[in-house]
Amino acid sequence: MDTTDDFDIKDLISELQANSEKAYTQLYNKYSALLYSFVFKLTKSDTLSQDIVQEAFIKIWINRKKLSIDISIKSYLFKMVQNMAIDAFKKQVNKLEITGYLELIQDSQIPLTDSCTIFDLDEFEIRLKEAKQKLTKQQRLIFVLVKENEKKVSEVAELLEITEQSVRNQLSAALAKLRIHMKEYFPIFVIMFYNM
Amino acid sequence: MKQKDIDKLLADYLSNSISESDFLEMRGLVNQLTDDELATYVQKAWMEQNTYDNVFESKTSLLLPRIMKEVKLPSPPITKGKTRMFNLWLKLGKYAAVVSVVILSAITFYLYQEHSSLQAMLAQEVVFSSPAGQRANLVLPDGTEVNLNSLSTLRYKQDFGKESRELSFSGEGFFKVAKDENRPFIIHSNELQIRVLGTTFNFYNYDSDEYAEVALVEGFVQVNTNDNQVVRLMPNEKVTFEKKTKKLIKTHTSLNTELAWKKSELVFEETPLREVIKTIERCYHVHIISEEGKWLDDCYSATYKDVSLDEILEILKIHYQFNIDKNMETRSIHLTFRKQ
Repeated sequence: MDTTDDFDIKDLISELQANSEKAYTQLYNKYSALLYSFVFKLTKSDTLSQDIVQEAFIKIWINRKKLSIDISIKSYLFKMVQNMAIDAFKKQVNKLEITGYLELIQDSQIPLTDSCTIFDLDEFEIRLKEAKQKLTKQQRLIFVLVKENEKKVSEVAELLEITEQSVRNQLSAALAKLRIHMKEYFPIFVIMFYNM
Repeated sequence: MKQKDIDKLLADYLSNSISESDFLEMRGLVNQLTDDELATYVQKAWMEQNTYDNVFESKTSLLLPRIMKEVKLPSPPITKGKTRMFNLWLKLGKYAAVVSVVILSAITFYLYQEHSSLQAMLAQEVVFSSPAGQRANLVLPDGTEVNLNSLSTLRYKQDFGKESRELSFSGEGFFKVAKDENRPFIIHSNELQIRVLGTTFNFYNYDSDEYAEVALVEGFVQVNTNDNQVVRLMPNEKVTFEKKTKKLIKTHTSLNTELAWKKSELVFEETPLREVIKTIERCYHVHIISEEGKWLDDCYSATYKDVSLDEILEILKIHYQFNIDKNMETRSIHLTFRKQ
C-alpha cells in the first residue's frame, strides 16, 4: 500500500466515524473483493466466502466508532473475521472431497470462474455425490475406501477378500463412470481427476 | 525429515497448486496448530495479497445490498442492464417441445376488468399446471428454472421480474432461482412464504397434504409462516411445517428423499420397505396406508426407470403379496398383507 492510499484511508475512516454512508460504501468497494477473493481461496466455498465478507463489513459498521486510524485496514478486516475464517478453513481442509477437488482444479488448468459461475468445493461435493450414485455398490465401496478413506489397494483387497487386481479393476471402472458423469456438469473442464 | 515451511504450503494451497502429499502434510499441521497460531500464518498470507480476479468484484457488488439491509442503511443503486426476456423466449421455445405444460393465460381476469388499461394487461396472470402423473420443466422470465412435479400449479403476473419477482404456488417444485439481489424472489403459498435471492431448493406444499416442506440444496433461504414464524435454512437443511399444529421443524437432510421425484430413476439399495413406501408417496404424491408388521422392515433392492405408480405397485405386490385398494379421488392407497 503506498502512502497516498494510506492518507485517503485515514480520511475515509474519520468520515466513517462520523456515520458517513458514502465512506462506508467506498470502503466496501475498495476492500470487499480483495477479502472475498482471499477467503474464497482459503475456504474454496462461495457460500462461506459470502458469509464471511458480510460478517466483516457488518462488524465494521457496528464498531465504526472504535476504529483506529493507526491500524491498517487490512489487519482490522482480518481481525473482524479471524474466528469465522479459521473455523471455516479447518472445516474445509478436513472434508473428504477436498483432495479430489484440488486434483480436478489443477489438472483442468482452467480458472475456477467464468463470468457468472464459480466452481467451488460445495458444487464439486454435490456433483460427486450424484456421480457416486451411478456406481454399483461394490464400486462405490472401493472408491470410498481408496479415495476418501485413503486406504491402500492391498488393504482393501484384504478387507473385501478379493484380489488386488480386481480392486484395481473395479476402481478404474468406477473412476471412468465418475469422469463421464462429472463431464456432463463441467464440460469446460478436462476431467482427469482421480488418476491412479 | 524436515517439515516443509507452512507459509509455502499455505501459499500453494491458496493458489490451488499444492500437490496431494503436500496437502496432506498441510492438513496435519492445520489440525495440530492452535487457532491463534494458525491465524498468524493465515493473516500473513492475507497481508501479502494485493490483487484479485474481477469476478469477485461482481460477487461482492451483489452482496452489498444485503449488507446495507443488515446494518439498516439505504442501499446504493446498482446499475444493471441486460434484460433476459429475449433469452426466455428462446429457452421457452426449446423447452416447449419436450415438456408438457398447460399454459393458461387467464384472459378471463382481463375481460372482467371494466376498462382495458395497460395496468390490466400487466395484471394478466400466467398459469402453468402440470397434469396428474406428469412433470414439467419451465424457465421463468428472470431465468429461474423450475421443475414441477405432477399436479402442481404456478402463477405469476405478466409483469413478473419488472419490479419484483413474486409468484404463487401449490404442489411440489424444484426451484433454481436466478441470482438478482435487487429483486428478491418470493413464493406465496397457502401456509408458507419463501424469500430467496438466488438459490436452489425443493418446495413441497400440496393443498391436500398435512405438511409442507422446504429443503435447501444451495445458497440461503428464508421461510415465513402466516403467523410470522421465520426460519432460515442452510444447504442440506429442511424445514417441515405441520399444517394442523402450525409447528416448524428444522432438520438435516441428505436430500435423497426430497429430490428423488426429480430423477426418472428410483434406486433402492437394501432399503427398508417402510422407506421405499415413503419415497413412493413423495414421488407420486399419494398417501399409502400400510398395515403394520415386520414386512415393513424388510430390505428391498431395485432400480426403476421411468415407471408409473401402477407399475411400481404391481412389482411390489408380486414381492410382498399384498392387496392394493386404491382411491384416486383422495389419492390414497391401502396396502393389506395376505397372511403368509
